[in-house]
Amino acid sequence: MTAILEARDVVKRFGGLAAVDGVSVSLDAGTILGLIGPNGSGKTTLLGVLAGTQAPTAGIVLLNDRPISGNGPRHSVRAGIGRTFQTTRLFPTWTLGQCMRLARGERDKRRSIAHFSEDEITEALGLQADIDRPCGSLTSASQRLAMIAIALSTAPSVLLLDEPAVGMDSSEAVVLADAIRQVRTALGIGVIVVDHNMHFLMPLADAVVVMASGRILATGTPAEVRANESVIASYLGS
Amino acid sequence: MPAAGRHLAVMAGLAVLGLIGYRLLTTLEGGKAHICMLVMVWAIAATGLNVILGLAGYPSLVQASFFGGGAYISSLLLQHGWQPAVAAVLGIVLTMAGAVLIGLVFARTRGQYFAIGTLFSGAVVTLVLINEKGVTRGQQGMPVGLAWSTDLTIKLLAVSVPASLAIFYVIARSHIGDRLRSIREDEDLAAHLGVPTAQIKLIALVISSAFGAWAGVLQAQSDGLISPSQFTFVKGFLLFVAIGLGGYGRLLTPVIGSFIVIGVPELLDLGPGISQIALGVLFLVVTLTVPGGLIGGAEGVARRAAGVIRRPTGSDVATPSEALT
Repeated sequence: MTAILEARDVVKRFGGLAAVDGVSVSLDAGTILGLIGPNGSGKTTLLGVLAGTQAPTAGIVLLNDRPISGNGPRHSVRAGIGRTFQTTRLFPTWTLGQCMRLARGERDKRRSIAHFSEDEITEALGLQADIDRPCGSLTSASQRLAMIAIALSTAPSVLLLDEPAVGMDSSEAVVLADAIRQVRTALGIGVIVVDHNMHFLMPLADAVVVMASGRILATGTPAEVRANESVIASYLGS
Repeated sequence: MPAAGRHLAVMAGLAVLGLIGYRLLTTLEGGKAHICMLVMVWAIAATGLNVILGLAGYPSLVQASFFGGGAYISSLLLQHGWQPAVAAVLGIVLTMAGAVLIGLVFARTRGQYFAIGTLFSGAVVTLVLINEKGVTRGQQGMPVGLAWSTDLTIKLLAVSVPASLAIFYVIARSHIGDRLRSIREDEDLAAHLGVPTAQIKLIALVISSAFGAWAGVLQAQSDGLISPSQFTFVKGFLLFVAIGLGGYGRLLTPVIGSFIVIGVPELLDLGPGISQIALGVLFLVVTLTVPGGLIGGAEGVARRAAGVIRRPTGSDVATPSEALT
């Protein structure tokens, strides 16, 4: 398989603190990569660098072998990276449909990529009833799903999800995991999921990267990572 | 009401507003006619600010300078023998060019940095108007060669107010209107959805400058005398207050806001000190108690009153496009 998204030796410093300290990750098309690690290990910062939210201090991010880092989020999203945020971020007074149509209208029309229609997105995420409701009035679980719906409206080749299952009960998390699988399979996009909920993430991910203190501690299949002693010691616990 | 019918009704309403303005300008006498003229000129300038501040939530404090740019450039060109229409168009175009320069520098900044940057730009314009005495005659002001008959100026004013509001109405419902509102909602999120935020802010600033400059041309032609004190940052703040009082991004905000910040103090003959303190207090009270401005507040009262009669339905939540009117 070919890597669709690749980060090479990415460093992100905030003053003296290296939040991400020389990380290389690659994501294959059609796979789901879990990104785990203790709080403060640099997961969200790495996601931010991959999404163009932040420019890396050093290193480079490649999407389909083209460098995309350092040009800001608009450049990255038009190149094909959709993301959601750890805290819920929506336009509260807009309906979900309005948000999705704005995102769709900003797509780079020259880029042709398999994508879902508005109806397919809301169906996959179970949001059909919410399309004409203001985002601010949705339940917190629906708001988490709405962020994904809006990110999918940008027709991404890579979807970055920052703690998508936070605040969801187990049945809602199952719906979310099914939706992520469905999107991955139908569109062949790559997905990176950051989450602390191992019951949610481990069955979902094809591969897992474990971060600690800004570096990669371990990489492997979920089973390999679960058995890794340093990962157990620093994060998973026995 | 279906969309097309609603648009027609709004346009018809604006036409009536223009006719009322024309009627007032032609029947009021002396000081009151002058106040009416000022309110109308300010409403046009405020419509520009309603694009960048009202829709995008960006506090541009340079609007009074665009106002002054149109007034001074058109008047200076008239003085040098240019055709009135050409002088007016160049007054607008050159002011827009100035807005492009300011936008190129400050459209990438946010929040208070944008406010300070535009405030600074306005201060520079005021300093130039005061100190370039050879060109502008400084503080004492500059007489303006009248390009048109008073009657034509009145007609232009009466047409320009509804036309400006109609243009705003169209902008607010266009793709760029959605992009501007997305910036107001959450600029970072908008950028992550692909909105070219800096570019859109630049465009909004330039659009706002065009309204400001045309208002300036009309102000110069109506008054026959222009001076730097008419276009200082204090006036820029007053425009800001006008938008806040009326309600950010609402169609009739420029008219209501201008009437309150310009019309009422003049009608009550308040001195500048007293009127500014009173407006400051009013602005605070409105901002704290009626976030949607006076128009939003009035709508809320009307909706509640209607709700007493007809049982509330689930559709009482204002969508962005509804909240505009």
